[in-house]
Amino acid sequence: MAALEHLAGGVGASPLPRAAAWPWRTALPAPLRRLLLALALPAAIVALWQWAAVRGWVPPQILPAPALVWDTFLELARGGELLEGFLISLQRIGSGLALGGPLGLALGIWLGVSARARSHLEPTLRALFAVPTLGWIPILILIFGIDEALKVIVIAKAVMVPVVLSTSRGIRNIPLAYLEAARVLRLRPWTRLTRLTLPACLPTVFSGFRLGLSHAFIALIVVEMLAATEGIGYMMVWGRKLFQLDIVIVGIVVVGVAGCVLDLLLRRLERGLSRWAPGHG
Amino acid sequence: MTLWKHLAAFALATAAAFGAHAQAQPETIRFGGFGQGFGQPHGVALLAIAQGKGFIADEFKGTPVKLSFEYFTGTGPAINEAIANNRLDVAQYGSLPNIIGKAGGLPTRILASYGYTTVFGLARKDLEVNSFKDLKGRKVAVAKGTVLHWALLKALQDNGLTLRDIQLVDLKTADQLAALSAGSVDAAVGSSSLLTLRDKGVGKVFYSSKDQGAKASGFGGILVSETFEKQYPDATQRIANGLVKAAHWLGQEANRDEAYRIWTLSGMPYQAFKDDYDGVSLKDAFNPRVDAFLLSQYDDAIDFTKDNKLIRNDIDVAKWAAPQYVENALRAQGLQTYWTNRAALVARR
Amino acid sequence: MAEARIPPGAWLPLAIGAAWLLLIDTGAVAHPLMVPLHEVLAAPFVDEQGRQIWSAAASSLVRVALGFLIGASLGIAVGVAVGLSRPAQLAVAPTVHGLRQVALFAWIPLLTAWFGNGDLVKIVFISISTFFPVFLNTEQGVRGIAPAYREVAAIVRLGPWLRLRRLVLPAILPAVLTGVELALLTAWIGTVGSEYAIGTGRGIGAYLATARDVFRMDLVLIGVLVMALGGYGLSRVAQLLFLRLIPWRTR
Repeated sequence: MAALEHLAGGVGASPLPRAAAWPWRTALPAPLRRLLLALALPAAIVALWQWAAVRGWVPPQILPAPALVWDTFLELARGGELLEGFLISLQRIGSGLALGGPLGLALGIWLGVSARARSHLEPTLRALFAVPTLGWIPILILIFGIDEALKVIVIAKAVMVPVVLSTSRGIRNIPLAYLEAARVLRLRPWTRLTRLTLPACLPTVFSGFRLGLSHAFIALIVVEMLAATEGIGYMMVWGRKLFQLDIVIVGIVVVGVAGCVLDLLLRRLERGLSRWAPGHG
Repeated sequence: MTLWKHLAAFALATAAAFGAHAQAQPETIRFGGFGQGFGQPHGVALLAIAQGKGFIADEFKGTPVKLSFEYFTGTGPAINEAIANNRLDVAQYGSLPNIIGKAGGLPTRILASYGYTTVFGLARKDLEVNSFKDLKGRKVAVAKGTVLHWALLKALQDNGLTLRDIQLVDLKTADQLAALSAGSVDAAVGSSSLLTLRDKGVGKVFYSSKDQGAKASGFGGILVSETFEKQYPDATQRIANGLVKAAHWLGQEANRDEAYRIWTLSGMPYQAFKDDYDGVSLKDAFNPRVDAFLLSQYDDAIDFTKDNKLIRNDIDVAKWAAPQYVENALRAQGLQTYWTNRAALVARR
Repeated sequence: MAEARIPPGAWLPLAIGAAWLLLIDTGAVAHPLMVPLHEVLAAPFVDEQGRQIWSAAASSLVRVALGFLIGASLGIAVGVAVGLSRPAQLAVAPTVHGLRQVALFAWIPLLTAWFGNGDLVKIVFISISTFFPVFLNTEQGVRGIAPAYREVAAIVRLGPWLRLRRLVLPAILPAVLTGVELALLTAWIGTVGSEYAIGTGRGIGAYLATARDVFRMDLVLIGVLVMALGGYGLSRVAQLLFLRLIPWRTR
């Protein structure tokens, strides 16, 4: 163990024990050390930011001081705008998921099961999926207008793409042995679907959903910044219009934190799920 | 002998230095303004005429000063950011972003008025909307935070309504067009860009600020950055000279068609300018004076932005305005009586 | 047997095209979005504003190339540096992961304030879009270098520079190329996205935004088509390139 750790230190690893090279290493427990190191860079950035603001290197409209950003955050939080925008955004993702998830799953299953459907639909679907959210928005606005329906549909499309692709792939990758076993056992199609196909491709499907959710989050921000009248994305565009970049920065931090929390939740979920249903690759 | 020689040399040197300082000119003057897309370095309103007919360039003939013109889409924020980053010296843009920038601490001075732009109200063809009064309870799209937002309020007030009587949706031009044709909103208030929908048969015009004149139209200023003005007062004066020449040129009816043609270089269609300015006296519309009338309108707009929580700090309009440059130019060109000095619309603060 | 000549994948697009021609070109259905097909296809060649798509596409390609080169080089360099050093990993990786969670688009209002509205800000945005996938994949690749290799290098006392050239770089090549391939698409989306959001200058995104401003839906459709084709073309080029560089890799 020690030898490997010693080598994993990287280029030019010294033959001396590591503890001698980093005397404080043994003084602090490992998790605390990791936390401090992880916070070092952000702390340095904020310090530099504060210094730049104090020294006036950049005009204050271009880089508001950290203190102002904090005040604005409190103001927005207390005024309820932050929560309101957040809830609206959350609602949109939820609706988009509820629409795109099952649709994507159904389409993915159909494509995975039927080779005929695949050969007819796949090229067109791939072409459609290749168009990013941005390309869809001008077209969808003309069809669905500028209301909530637009945003939900945009998010649903963003969810569908990875779900369809990974579900169809997951089904096609089911080992032949399973399918043969199903045939031998003379399982009815529905039983085969629910008892064999779906559980076997669950890990792949789940990773598709995980990707779908992160795409949905990005699509949410894009549609809110380009075609919405409320929400966190809109708040940032509004802040720019008012030439109050502190609002923009608050928005960025909120979006970042929300993204981190989402990512953490999903990873926990995936870990839990893989423990319950060991993957087949 | 040598003493006189020294004194003479010293006198000459001082005169030369003084002369050089008084003639200190910038290397480049960077102009910016609101514009259309498709990448054209041409714009509209007063600055475009001053540029297109070479009035400003003429003022700097014989000097090594270079002029650059840049026209932005998504104007207000982009221009304020450019001024803050010291990438623009003179900018022509709407009054609300002028105010937002100044209230945010941007060091600008109002050099001249860039003219008045007509504000249109367009409603979906299938709806029973023929005047502002019919807007009650309907969904109306406007670009919030722009002078069009202010103009909407003015028009509502004139019809006995308030912003609370309508459902306001904040959309920019492109989205307004799409939302109207998809039926998401009932009406939109904006510039002549809205008229493409009328031409396509999707909407009908129910309001035009031409009937109200300047007091309900879109307005804004040609602003100069304070640092530029302090450093190059002579150049600033020359710019004002060029702007006044352009305004005077616009005042002559014979030049109307040519003016439209110069403005179409920006990418907007000829018809749009006819819709904007046919029937309007260009002389009145492009009165460049920073007089009591203009300043009272700015006052009104500042109150509007404060009421709508668009700005955090107040602005001293008297200190913000720099009317002397245009006035000097008028005197120099013998045009003091060409435009009447308009009285304030409402009592000045 | 004649049916076999038309590939099954082509049926759906052909059917849509036929329906479009039938319903819209003939004028049976009228909707602002439904522009006659022949007009849409002709616009890049005959229409004055339609012709600008070519220079717009060229601008976008130049931008994506520049931004991609900058972002990818930075991503590889920082990825290797961080991957090799454990303290650096602990210090830098959490911040980068945190920043990655901020949807890229959210940076645009801030970036325009810092870098203006011209080409610089778009290239910065594209570089950032490229940086993250390349960095993450490279760092992962470096960390994944089998300990056995490291042991051999340590035993043989390979100097740091040789270690880099002969061990690290070749070992991480597949991971880096995976990151680069992903980053290419991200860079393209970032290119068009930033052009659209910022709106000034030439480029497919700006073209799209302006077309919407003047309500020319035929130009909007062309813009979207070119956007999709561009992304597809770039990923095909990447695939072919990597097939030649690392032919042993199976997809």
